[in-house]
Amino acid sequence: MENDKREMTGRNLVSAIRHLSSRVWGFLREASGETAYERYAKKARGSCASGSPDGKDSVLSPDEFHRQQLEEKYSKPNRCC
Amino acid sequence: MRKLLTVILWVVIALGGAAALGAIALERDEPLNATWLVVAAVCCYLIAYRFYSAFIAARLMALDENRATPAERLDNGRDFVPTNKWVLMGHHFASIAGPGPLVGPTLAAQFGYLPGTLWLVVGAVLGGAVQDFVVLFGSIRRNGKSLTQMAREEVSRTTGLVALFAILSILVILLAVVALVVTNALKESAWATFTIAATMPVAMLMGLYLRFWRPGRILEATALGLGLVVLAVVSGQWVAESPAWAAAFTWPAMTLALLIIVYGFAASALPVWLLLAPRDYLSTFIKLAVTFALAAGILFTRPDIQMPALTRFVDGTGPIFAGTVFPFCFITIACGAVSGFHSLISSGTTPKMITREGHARMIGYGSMLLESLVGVMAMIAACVLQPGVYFAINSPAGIVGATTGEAAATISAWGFPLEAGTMNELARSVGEQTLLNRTGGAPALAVGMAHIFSNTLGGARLLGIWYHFAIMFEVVFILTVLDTGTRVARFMLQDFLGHVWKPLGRTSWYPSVLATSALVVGAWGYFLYQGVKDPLGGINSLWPLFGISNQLLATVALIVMTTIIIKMGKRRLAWVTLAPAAWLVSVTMTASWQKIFHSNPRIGFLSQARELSERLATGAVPAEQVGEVERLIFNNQLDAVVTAALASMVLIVILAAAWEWYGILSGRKEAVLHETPYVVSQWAEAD
Repeated sequence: MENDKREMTGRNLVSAIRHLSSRVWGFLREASGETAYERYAKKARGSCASGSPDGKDSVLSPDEFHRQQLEEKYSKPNRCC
Repeated sequence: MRKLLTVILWVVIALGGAAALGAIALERDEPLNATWLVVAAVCCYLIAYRFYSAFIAARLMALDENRATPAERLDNGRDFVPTNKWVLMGHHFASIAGPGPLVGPTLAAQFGYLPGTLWLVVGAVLGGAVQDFVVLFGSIRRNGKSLTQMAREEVSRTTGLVALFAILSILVILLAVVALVVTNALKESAWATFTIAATMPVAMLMGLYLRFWRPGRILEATALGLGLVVLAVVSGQWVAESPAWAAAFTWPAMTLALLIIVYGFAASALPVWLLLAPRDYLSTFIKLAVTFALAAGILFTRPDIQMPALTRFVDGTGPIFAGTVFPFCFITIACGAVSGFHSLISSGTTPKMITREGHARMIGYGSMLLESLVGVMAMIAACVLQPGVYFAINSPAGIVGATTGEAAATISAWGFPLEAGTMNELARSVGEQTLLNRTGGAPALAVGMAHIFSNTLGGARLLGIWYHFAIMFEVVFILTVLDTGTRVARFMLQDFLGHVWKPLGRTSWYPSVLATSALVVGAWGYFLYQGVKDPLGGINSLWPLFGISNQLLATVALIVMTTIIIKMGKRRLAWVTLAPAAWLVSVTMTASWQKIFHSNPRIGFLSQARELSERLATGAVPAEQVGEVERLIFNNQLDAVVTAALASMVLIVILAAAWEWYGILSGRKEAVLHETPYVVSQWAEAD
């Protein structure tokens, strides 16, 4: 009984740590912009499926997306003094 | 019960703040502990955030959680993206926090710790944070429009055009002054120069990694880059200790200035993925990490402030820059208190990514309070140094002399005891040949930070590593401002020239890219050259010019937002933006007037030009220096013209806005707001 409880607490702790680290990792990925393409592709494919006039061909490849994102980001003030 | 606990909590915060302010006001015989400054500032920020920003959000803006934001309505997964508010706050803070809140307070410490610290806190709470918040609000309600677009639509076409020219001029001056700070931080320092030079190939390696080997893996590439940069800081010591390598990386200021100009050109013209973007990833991570580390270090070591509350230099005779505490303290500290440049960020990417209107308060107002706290920490780092050491590092040779003996005698005579041996020992302990006359603020701040860090970890043994780590931290993100700023100015110039001849406006047409990059780099490069050649160190003339231009832009932003507030029918609350605008007008116009016409040649550009002309006319200048003196005369006249042009632009905006206000308030003109129509948020019911 005592052992089971300890095992349960240990498992809960491991699962809590896993959950927390996965959330921190997710936050870091989002903050760094790593998830930007995934989000864009999901959105763009959703628009295609719902009959958006863009058509399927308008979904950018990861390479095109990142290049456009960078060009856009560094063409207007984005770093202050 | 919950309400009672909340009331008790706010009473405790208010009492804590009052106690800290009381300690600062009454502590005169012994050095003040820096913790009091941090506690006082944080309590003020908390109270301002809880009550003043809530008042603005509810009464002035009437922020509506049920109103869909542009990110929700126009969500395309690219530029309009609903974003987690903490992530967006991180992005916004990383965008607004540059070298300004570090360098400005360090320079303003020449007046003592009190004027600068009070301005940082009061300026941010009532001015800077308000500006950032209201501009963000205005842009959210207008599909993420920029400040110039809002100025054009809500005030007049002239205002929009003037704002555009003001931004371009400010960019040029900003880039010149930050380049000068870098030059002065790296000159004659093999260790620092090697470390910074190493960050270029490291950034390019990251760029190639992200482009060809592991596309999109930004965290991996950044971790790799950070590891290599730390290695560069440590190996810089070996470079400095090797006579051959040290000679290869020890460069005078003019050589460094030319290299920085070449770097700015390359960063503007090269593909953005190769150098600019990876350097930005690096600098953002370093910036955030070091800012938190500095806060932790100050709280851990609780250092004593060595600088007096007020120094004799409030009378305008300061060695770092000349001018009385009013208005010069208030333009020396722009970023950290009120920075017009922030209005470009608040009307740039952030409004297109905000998920709910209510988030604007934390992101707009809250981020600026954090930046102000960074400024307070920089002030502390500068003021924990012995005042004599602080003045020896920051004063130009033309004021204190070029040898440690001369400097020690001059500075001791001002009432700040300093021995020549102290400066030699300090330079040796941080691995430098000299720390004398290292104007620009960055080296003094790095010495202060190194003291705090080494007292936290490693002791005196690691002082050299920490000093160069701090220099790397400052220079890396100053260069990020430099390269992104050059590129942005190039885009603005191309946009303008595109109206003259269409191909010039094409941002992918290389002849235009090269020509406009050269024009932009040439413009700020000239001011940088002027600063390097200036016998008074360059900071004396360029930093006030930068402060004036930055706060004039803040004035434009606040005036535009006042117009919007009046059009919203909230004229009784227009004081929220009008009061800080009026203060900034009085500060910047006084400073502009004094910088142009003051009779003291160290302050007034024209009187310095006149004095130099008289020396030329009387033959007091040796023949070999005639060319240089003629150039100095021209530079002073040019600075006077630039200052006058900036001040005139703002006067035009004020007059145009006042005419609009008069029309609306007198009922002669209909108040037409250009807000986007109300759309209910898809998340409205969830509340």
